[in-house]
Amino acid sequence: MRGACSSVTLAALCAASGVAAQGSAAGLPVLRARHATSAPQVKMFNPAGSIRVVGWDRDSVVVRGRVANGEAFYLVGNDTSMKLGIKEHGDDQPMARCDLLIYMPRRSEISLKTVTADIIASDVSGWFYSVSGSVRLSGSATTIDVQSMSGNVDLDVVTPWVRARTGDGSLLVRGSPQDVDASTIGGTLSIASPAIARGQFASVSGDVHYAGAPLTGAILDFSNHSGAIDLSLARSVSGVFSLSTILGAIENGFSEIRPISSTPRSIRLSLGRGGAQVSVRTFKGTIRLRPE
Amino acid sequence: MIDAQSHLTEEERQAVADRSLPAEHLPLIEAHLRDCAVCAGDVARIRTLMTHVTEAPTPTTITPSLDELWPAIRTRIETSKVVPLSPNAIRLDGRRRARRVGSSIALAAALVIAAVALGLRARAHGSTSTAQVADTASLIAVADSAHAYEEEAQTLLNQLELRRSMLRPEAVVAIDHDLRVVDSAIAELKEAIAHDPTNPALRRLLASSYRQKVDVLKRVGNAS
Amino acid sequence: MNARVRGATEATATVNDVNDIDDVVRRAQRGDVGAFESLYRAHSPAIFALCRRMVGSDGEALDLVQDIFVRAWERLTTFRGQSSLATWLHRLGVNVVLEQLRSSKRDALRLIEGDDTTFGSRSPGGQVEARIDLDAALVQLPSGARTVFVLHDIEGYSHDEIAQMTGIAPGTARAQLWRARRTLMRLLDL
Repeated sequence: MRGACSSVTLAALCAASGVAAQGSAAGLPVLRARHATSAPQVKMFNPAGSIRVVGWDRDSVVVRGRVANGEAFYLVGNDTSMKLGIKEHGDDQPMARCDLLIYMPRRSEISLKTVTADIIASDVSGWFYSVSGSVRLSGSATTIDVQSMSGNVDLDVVTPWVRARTGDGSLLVRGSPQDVDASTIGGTLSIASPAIARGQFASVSGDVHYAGAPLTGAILDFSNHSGAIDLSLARSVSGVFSLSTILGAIENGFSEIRPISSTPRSIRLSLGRGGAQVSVRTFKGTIRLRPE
Repeated sequence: MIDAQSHLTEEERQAVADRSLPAEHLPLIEAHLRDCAVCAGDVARIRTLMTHVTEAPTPTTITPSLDELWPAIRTRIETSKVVPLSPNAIRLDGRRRARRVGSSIALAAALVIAAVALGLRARAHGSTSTAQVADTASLIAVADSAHAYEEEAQTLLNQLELRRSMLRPEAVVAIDHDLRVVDSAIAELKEAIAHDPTNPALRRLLASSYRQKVDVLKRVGNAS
Repeated sequence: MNARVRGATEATATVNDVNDIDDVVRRAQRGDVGAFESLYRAHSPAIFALCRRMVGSDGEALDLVQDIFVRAWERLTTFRGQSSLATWLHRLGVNVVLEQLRSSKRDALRLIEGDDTTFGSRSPGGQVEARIDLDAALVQLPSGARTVFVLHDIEGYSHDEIAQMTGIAPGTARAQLWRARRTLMRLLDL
């Protein structure tokens, strides 16, 4: 009886926390807590399902979730360094879905890896990797390093430094990151942040979209092989834009402004008071510069 | 006119304290300070602050130390820097490897020859502009970096082949697809450079594509 | 000794022979990360001190030290040796800190308005608490006043240079400086 009541209570807690429960709700709830220092190292692994991480101001790590039948949860280590997640089988059988919600100190150094599980994290910093799961990060961080082979990446963060990579997934950069290094192979790369002071954005065949106005003094570099690069600029834009392509086309929506220099495959243009330095180059992708 | 009944302005007090007062105003101000204890005391206090500032110990860091910052800085600069050429990097090992190395050496050689030709032409015309010198140097640099990237990519590809059986199937599909896309871009760029070896834009695009290839291969390590 | 010169000579010492310094800089400019590490170890204490005074927080100062040296790596090829490397780094560091202050929207350069007694720690009885050192006092200044004070009185920049770097008028910079001095005098019980 007591055990059943505990399970009901835990299940209610998990539901209240917004952790998805699947279909027949097969699987066991998990609820663990451990004391942690203010900046522990935490390594996490969940191959399938979802993993949500929330930074908080308490000196503990708390894990809630649901672990599928046949899968095993682990939490090992001490208050400065711990590992948690779902144990791998070691065979070829696909892993069943597990959903975890983890609270940890904001200054934790995270290494988080999934295979197909989606990652959602807020107010934490570190390294996030998924083979094909999506990654959504928000809040404040000291550094963000996110990589996915094919999943979508969505960043809405305030941080001095971001490195983001995905293959065919889409990559969205928002919020207020200062130093950004973001690239895709074939996925769409979209940037909508006015706070970037230094940015390096690249794709091979995916389109790159930038919307807004670069920060005064910002240095932004866009590079693409065959995908398009589309800069949709606010009226308040102020910068020197150097656009060049080998085989592609340049569509200049500021044709009323006399360029600094111009050839059939390149153009250098000063908009506003010319505060930012923006360089754009493609091999054969189209470059579009247009007012919002 | 300043006399015992009036006092110095804030600007005058601050300027005489930090010695930025124009010389022509100094005699009048100093005369007032001799007669006015209020202003003299205030100026003395400002000067005490400035002495305090000069003598204050320099802030030092405790934890984490500046030493502990270096690895993060190194990581950041190495993810963007051009990989320098290592003189002993070439190891002929298998016909396929030799062919890859050969093609990248040929590319590097073509770029170096183009760079030397640029330099010779500039000298023949009796002038070597800063832009031409920079262009020559960067051509040599990208020739080095193209070769170095090819070497690094080949090492990582060899590791991928060894580890392929240990990789998750979905990871293998993604990696192979990404490598096809990047290799296709690199091939197009190499062909374009062969026809136009002194084009700086092509050089930068090639460097960007190589970096992306190495990036994809490095991500393989995490996919097992 | 001029504050800026003092800062430059505080660079520690693995690179104190002029020829060695030139060689290390040249190697770093050619992409030698090991050489750049030597420069980092020599100059990071002075850069940290600058950042710490300007932003008032150890954590932020350390983040800025990272950003400054990454920027220095990116821009090192533009260093021509017309000034010392310490001076060049210092100037670059000031610019990075000012960018950070602007982008963090802390209203970095607003004038100090009103009664200065809104600043500083005062006990309910109106007495200033126990004497605090300069760095603790600096933290209590508004960031705009602290910026101008650090740049002028500690780092030795002129009002015109400060105006150029911060985008405020020289007259405004002077007013900020005077108010900063008055506040510090009160906090330090001078």
